[in-house]
Amino acid sequence: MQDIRNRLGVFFAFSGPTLLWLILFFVVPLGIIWLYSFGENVSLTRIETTWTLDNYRRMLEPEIIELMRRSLWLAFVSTLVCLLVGFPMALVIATASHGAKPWLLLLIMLPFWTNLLIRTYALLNILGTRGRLNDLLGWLYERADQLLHLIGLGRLGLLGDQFTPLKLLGTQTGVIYGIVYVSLPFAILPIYSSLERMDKSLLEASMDLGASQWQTARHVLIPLALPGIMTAAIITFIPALGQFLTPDLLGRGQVDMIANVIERQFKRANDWPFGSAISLTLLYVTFILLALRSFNDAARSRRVAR
Amino acid sequence: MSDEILSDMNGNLSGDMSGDMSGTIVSIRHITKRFDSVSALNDVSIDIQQGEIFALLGPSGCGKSTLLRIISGFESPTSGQLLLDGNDMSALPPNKRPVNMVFQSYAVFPHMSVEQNVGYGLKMDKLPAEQIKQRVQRALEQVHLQDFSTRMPDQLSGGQRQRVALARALVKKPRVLLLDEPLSALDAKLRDAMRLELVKLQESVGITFIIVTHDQAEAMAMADRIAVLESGQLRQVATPEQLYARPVDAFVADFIGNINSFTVLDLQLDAHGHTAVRAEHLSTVMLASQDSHASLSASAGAAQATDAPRQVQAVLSVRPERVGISLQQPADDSVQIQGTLGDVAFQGQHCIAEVRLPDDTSISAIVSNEQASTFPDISEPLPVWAFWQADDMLLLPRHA
Repeated sequence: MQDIRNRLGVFFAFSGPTLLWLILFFVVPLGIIWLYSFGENVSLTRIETTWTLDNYRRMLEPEIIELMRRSLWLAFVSTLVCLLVGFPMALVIATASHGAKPWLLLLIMLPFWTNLLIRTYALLNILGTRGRLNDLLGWLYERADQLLHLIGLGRLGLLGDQFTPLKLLGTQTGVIYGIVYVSLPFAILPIYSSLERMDKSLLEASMDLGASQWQTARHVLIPLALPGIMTAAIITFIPALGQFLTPDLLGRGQVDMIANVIERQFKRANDWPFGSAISLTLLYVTFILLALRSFNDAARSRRVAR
Repeated sequence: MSDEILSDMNGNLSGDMSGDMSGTIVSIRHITKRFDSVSALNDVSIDIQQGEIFALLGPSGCGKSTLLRIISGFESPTSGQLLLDGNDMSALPPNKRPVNMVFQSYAVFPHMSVEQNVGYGLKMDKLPAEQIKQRVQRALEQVHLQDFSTRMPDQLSGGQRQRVALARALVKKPRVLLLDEPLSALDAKLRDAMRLELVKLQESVGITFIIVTHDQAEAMAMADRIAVLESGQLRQVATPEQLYARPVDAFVADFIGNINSFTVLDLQLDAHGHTAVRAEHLSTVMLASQDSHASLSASAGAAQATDAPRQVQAVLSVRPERVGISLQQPADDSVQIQGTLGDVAFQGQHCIAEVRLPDDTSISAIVSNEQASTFPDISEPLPVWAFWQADDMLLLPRHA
């Protein structure tokens, strides 16, 4: 290893292709976007970098602020749901028998191998007003209604006049449903790995010292899984904040998130400078969140080292 | 299960009790534990006395840890009963049992300071903060960690982490303290010091200790009584001295210290209270008859009657420190065996000499350093005689 590190030639031969790729297709385009964000449209196809701050100033318009607020809110709720659903699942996998563990992990990984577009269209099929979910609810309604009639309570109209399908598409609930569906594996895996590494005798020690199962979860299990939970929260929240396809398809254009607005600037509105400014702002918000996390970690390790 | 049978069993297995014990605290009654179809414990019954250090000793996989986990409540027995102070424990979960455990990995909570670790159990018991503080302080003093109370576990050495685990369990004032291989993770020097310290600590707190260990030296040095387990079977419960001097079978004899064993070929009880034993390599040895010899003789007779190979499931054994080595044939009536001198290993206060027998097996003897220095240093095999008194031999059954 020492040799490789000391030889520049080897270093570049090994990392060169990746570096070149990153520079050509990531750093350079990002630089262009950065320049655009300080530019103005001078004609239909030409943008001139005039170092104006107007594009950033427009971020403060009420509708953009509202969009930003909604995106943060949807991403936050989705993350919360992912953690609440993901933690028990991760716990189940971490404590499963050796035989069951690979299969459970496979179940979690399976969606990764399916195209996002296909998955989202499948969700459309499920969540639609005449979708499978409402089919199921309608069927349950019929059965419950029949049952009530059977025991002679039908006249009371406890279930309302008729079945009203749930409206999920085009609502925030539907979008959250979609984001959770896409992000759940990202939430489960880091929590699983932190639980998997944990010394199980710590949990036994807690019980041995008189803690109930709940107290053990609160005082030992969750605090020790916290790094995994934080990682899960971040890698769920950041992509959720930039969700584009899910709000587009499941939101039916009525639950736009910030990425949908960005897309519109680059396409229909043909306002690339403004689109660039929003993109970069989103990037800065992400950076700030990551920085906060690092500071938090550093503070924690300083506390330990005290 | 009737009490007569139990007391009878103790009479057979455990012998005298040392010190003044005030009765049974843990009673393990006919406990059997099976995992799927594998039997980890097979009808084990032990009574553990108030205030003693009791060791569960055996090779890995003998079921000793399973037994400890049954006492702590992390496993439940397939059948049998566990009584603590006369109360059946089987329905109580671990957090409700008045026993505490020091885990093999110590299981010190890495996200809590020493103080928080030790106070954890009291906090779960909802004790007032002031009282928790006092008791934590006292417990830390008991294990000499009073200056470390604000440290985090990753700033402690292995030995200090173990003390935290000890203090954390002791602060709860358990009826019984369970220790799972308490010294196995420490280095040799620290292990010896900690052995003594654990014994002293036990004397000062007066709590019954149950220690699981695979190290016979550790069990002998610390325990008041030892239970030897092998593949889920309880072999013997006795004081260390009794285990060494009067092992019940070949396994216990071999596990507790070193022993030279010879396969018994035939044995006969005569009318004068002697047992004549014929074993490989040896001339017939006459032993004073004991009760246990009768059943061995009976099984030998049965084997002859059925024309089975004439071999008794028994060994005739002698401890190395009873074996002497001589360059001439001893003139007395001792049991003698001729061989050649093999390796002589210097041990510090004495040497262990190996005598090779014609069939390539060997027996070991403890000789003084003075005698070892008289052995001529020659390259060809030196013929020697190993000898000992017939009374020093043990006739022990061997389980298949």
